[in-house]
Amino acid sequence: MGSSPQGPAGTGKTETTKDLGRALGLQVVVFNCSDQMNYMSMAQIFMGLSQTGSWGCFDEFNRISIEVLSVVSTQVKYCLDAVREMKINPAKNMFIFMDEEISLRLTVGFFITMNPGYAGRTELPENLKALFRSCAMVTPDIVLICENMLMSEGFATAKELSKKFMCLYDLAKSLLSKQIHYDWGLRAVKSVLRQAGGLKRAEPDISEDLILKRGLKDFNWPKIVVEDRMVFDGLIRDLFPNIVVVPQVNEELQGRIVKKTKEMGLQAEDLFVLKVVQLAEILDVRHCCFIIGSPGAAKSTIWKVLAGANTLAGKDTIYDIVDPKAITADELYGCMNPKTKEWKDGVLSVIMRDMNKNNGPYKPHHKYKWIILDGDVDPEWIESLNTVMDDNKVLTLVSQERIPLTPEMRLILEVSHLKNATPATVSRGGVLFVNDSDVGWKPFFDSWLTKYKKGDDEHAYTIFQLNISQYLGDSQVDDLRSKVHITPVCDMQCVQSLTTIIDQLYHQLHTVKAQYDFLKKLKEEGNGDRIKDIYEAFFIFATMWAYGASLDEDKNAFSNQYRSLVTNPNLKFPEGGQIFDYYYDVIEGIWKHWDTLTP
Amino acid sequence: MVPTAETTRQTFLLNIHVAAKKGMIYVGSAGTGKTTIIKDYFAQLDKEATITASMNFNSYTDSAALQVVLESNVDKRAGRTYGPPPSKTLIYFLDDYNMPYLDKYGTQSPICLIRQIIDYGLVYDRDHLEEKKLLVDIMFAGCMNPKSGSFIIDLRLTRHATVISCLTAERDILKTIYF
Repeated sequence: MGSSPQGPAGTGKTETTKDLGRALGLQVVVFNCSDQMNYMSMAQIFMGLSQTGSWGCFDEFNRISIEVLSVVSTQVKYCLDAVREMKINPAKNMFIFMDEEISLRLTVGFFITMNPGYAGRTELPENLKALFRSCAMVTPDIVLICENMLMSEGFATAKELSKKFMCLYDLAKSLLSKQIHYDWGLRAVKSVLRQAGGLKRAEPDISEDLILKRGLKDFNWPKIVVEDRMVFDGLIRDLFPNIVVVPQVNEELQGRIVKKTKEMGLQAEDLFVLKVVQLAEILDVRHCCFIIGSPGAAKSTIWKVLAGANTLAGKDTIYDIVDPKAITADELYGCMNPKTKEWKDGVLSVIMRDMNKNNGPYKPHHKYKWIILDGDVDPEWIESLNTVMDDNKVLTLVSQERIPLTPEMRLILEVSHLKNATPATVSRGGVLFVNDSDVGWKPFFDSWLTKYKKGDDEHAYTIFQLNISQYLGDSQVDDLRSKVHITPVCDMQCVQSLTTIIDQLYHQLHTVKAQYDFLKKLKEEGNGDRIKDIYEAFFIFATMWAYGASLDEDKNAFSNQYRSLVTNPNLKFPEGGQIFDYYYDVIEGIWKHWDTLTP
Repeated sequence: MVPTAETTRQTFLLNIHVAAKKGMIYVGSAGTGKTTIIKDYFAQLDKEATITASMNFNSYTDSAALQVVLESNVDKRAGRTYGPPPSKTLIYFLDDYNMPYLDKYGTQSPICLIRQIIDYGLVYDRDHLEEKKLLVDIMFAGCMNPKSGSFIIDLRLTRHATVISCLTAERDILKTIYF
């Protein structure tokens, strides 16, 4: 008879099965079930298991579609019946399975693990349930596990520390806000302990309290959202009183990141650099990481900078990007043609195999190989990666191929939210949460300004810098954010539109003959104020279109507000209409109604 | 087509965005002239420098259907690079941006594909999935009606574009057109 351990994520269902197999000296093969599996591929697995007498552990068994499950129940029944008969009559070691006569070994066993009730799961048919003895798994006593792991990492005061550790996690679970990406389960505990072990070995002489405190803080800080930072900080302080943690700075890494950031023409702001360092730290202990943040929060820039910084240190980093939802799940993982039984590779299976075997663009000298999955997470595609994301580290395909993750490989999932992710997914990866306030749009604007600073146009630089505080001060931007937009917009989007429009107007000024001649004349006359007026007009024009154009009913209010913001007497808007009705005539130096251009 | 202040200024803005290859999205309810602005703009474009392609989204549009249209308008340049004829810009005009069907988890696959192209200029060949194609010199302009389809689209896509709302034309503008 098979067994079906059931329970919440991270209770050790798969690990228990594997460990039992290990104790009995039997091979346990872990399969990650998906809705792509059909009865043929399942039959192959059962045939293989019966002939070798190994155990099969089917992870997330209830993801298989219900049609396939009903066939599977017959298949399992065949195997189990054959086992029963063989036990009575040992000579009968052959049996008919799917029209083929195959041999049987008595040790064969089937184990299915599942999380009941998650999205994208089916209810098992009764006749199938009857074939497996169900076994409830509850959250294990983490304190004990924690204590043992601490001990094995070389901590002498393991008992005391483990209590503090679990106390913190319990409190965090109940006191911090409920974020989908928070996970205080077994997997999270394990990663912290692994990191703490590393710290301990690096500095064996400092106090263990300090090491654990630092480990806990470093590990959890990246995923704590801004609002929870105070609470979490307080919790740690209460549990480890009178211990001052000197922030550990990896100066070499930080230096490299700053260098790379500047090379890419970006601003090496402290918070940004910190996020990159945190990503590097997460990737050191976990092979799978979620980067979560709202659009325009610099998620992509963070990993790009880290990749560049790694390469600077001679650790060549190569990456491949896929948006998993731009293609179908079949195209992502590959699929079996139902008629010809021909296997067709998918995007991800090809990338993973090439990375694993150093084929194609991947070379052995690449120290890091990243797969960037940039797109929404939903249980249908991501749960096929469950075995990759946990300690098994293998991708099991429907074709029965198993592609292991090599130590250089990392999965980075770039998402804007985890609304659809199940706890099974969340607990499997490290989390880097990028708050809107961490980087923001100011660094982007500064990077853009530097372009004008480098050019010899001193006027443009100073004027734009002045204008940003005059027209887009914090209160204005906050005010704009609260207005009704016709479709959601974000700060970064508006700033990017702003810079694009200014760039183009500036470009026109220098390429359209009439305008350029005029500009040259002004320069010769030394009429700097007039040039400054032109640039300020550009800024006003760009601001109204970048920030105001997406407004719905508030366009009028916006128009009036910005009319009054203009203090430069040469640039006052004419009376009547909205500011959107006007354009700036460079040569005449006044705002003109668009009507004047219409034939 | 009667030129009004509205069409003149939108043409000016579109010119700016095309030169920077930055996307634009016009948002407004039915009959506010979103599509007309773009169609009109396309009609007066210099065909030597800019070519255009249009596609109407509907609830059956999926990423595969979109990709067929996208790929049918570009030629192979060199190696894995695809694009319009050299030194030209190709503008894809996507009408009813928000119409594609939302899957169970709120994702629209064509939107994901466009985002992948805008972010990384990358598509995977749908027949030979191991082959990457790099798309260059293209840009997207779109229209959507926030009162139909999925109402809004993923902010991760719209954030790459300038959003301009189209409101119902005022009385005196209508007068110019019809009298």
